[in-house]
Amino acid sequence: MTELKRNTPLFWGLYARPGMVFGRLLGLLPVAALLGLYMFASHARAVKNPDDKLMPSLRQMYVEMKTIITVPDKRSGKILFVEDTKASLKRLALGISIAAVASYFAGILMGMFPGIRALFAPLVTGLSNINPLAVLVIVLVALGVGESSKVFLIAFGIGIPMMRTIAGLAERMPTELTVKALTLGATQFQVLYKIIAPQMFPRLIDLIRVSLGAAWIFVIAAEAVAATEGLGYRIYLQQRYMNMALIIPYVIYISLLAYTSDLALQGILKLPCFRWYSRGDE
Amino acid sequence: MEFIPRPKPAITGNEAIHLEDAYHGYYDPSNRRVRTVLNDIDLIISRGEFVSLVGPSGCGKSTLLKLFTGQEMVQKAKYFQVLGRLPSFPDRSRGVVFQNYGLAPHLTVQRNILLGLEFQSSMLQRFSPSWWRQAKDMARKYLDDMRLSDASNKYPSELSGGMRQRVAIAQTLITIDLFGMPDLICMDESYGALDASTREDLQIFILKLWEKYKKTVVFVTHNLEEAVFLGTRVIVLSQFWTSDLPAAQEEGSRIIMDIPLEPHAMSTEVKQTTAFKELTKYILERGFNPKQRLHIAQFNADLRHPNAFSSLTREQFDASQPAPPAAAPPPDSKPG
Repeated sequence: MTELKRNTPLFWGLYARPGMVFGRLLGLLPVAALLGLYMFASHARAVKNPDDKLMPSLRQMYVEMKTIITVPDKRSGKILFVEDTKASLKRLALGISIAAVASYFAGILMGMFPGIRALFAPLVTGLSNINPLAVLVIVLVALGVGESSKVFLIAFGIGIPMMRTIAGLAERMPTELTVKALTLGATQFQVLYKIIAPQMFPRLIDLIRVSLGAAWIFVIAAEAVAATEGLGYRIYLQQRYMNMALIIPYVIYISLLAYTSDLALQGILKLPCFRWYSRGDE
Repeated sequence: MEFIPRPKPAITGNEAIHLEDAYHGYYDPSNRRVRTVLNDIDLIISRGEFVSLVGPSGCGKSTLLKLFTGQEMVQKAKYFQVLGRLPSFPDRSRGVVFQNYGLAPHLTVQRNILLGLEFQSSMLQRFSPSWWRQAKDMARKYLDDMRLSDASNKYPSELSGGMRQRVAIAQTLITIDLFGMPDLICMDESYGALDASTREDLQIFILKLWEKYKKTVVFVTHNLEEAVFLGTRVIVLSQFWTSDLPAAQEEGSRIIMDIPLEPHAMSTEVKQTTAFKELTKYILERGFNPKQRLHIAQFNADLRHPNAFSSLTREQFDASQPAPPAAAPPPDSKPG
């Protein structure tokens, strides 16, 4: 008996199988190319003008980052990098939590009870069409330049669309589930908290993942306008000095934070108690 | 053809369902009018009967079932009672088994089976670990009876269709054992999505349960063989009928046959007998054929079950009969 093989292409074709190692290497290729291009351009500019600020070298970025991470600020005596991270993450976490809790409860009620839907749906639809960034100024005037205005902007900006989505998902739950539960002796609220709400929870997590991008936009925007610390504030502050050597690593850092928070949320859905959800219910 | 009167049977108080002169319809947006689905339904079902409700697709048999469970309210009827009262929204007095199982996808098989118990026990009990231990012991008994022991900790999406339907039946069963409810079980094409051998398995299974508990079962199916095999009575609902009524009143389905069946045989072999085949063929020809529609005056001959009744009068029957050959003209009176 001989082992039968056919010629599977490594890279090109509908049936190509890049495999684990080669596949990963392939993915690194464009990243490395872009990085090389940047380093080449940065070097070329530095040769022409040693004081060039637009495209700093990797070394300059490293020095700037090392300073902000290790050397305490002269005035406050605190490490600015840590303070920035803490401030931004706190605003983000608070805003997302408020949005998640509010949209979860209000969304399920609106989705399941037609009366409550009739009462609030027009208002929520109207609110969801308001651009949160356009009302940022109103929010600042009304709530002041403190934490509450930034948290409100995030909670409002992602909470209202999340509420609509949850309401829609709850409304489209198969009626069989409700009828079956009622015939087994459930009360109306038992249908909500034993049948509908647990099924909406992983959907809420998925929804937060989708909304994370928008939440980051709002936190950076709010910090740019009115703040005394935070990742967004630092970027806009350094813009005055055209300090790209700090701004570029900060942007990369923010992206990494966003990526990690998405992974963490994905991790929640991988827990055994959500096995029924990730498998998909036919 | 002889006129057979089918008067309303005496009301004994033992009726599970009593529906008289019922009409039901839906708004049809493309024609901008209400389309009648159920046209003048008369139906009495005694407690403990196993009624097969069968008919061509689109005849409204599932709609009729929804009236019984309380998912919909009949639009017009002279009389309507289910288990002795006007049915309100779905509640624990009427159980239901759906074609697509209706299981809670986020709960394991064990927790699904215990749902009825959970719903109907107090908050205090649900917080007590010893109560849960007892409940899980109880669940084990049903899991064994249903041959689901290995699936106890699986989720519904990890089961085959037959297993899911057994879980759905077990959900109702545990509430019957513990609370004596539901008294009426509505099965809406429950076995429609199963393959032939699983289907026969579950047919025998539901018959055994019915023998044991003697609850009223209304089993909706489009499978005629299944209907005749399972029921103590088969009711044919069909939109394929004709009358001398104006076309507008001829819309929707009527009960065109209501046939009592032999006591149950617990073997599927009965499906191979001549009598069984002849009956299914007879029903198929008269009830399912859009080209050869029965006239409403002919229904009474097939409304054979003692509980079947219709409002057809002798005058209406006579009027529908072909006119007898014209009698000889009276002799002319002689001129004076």
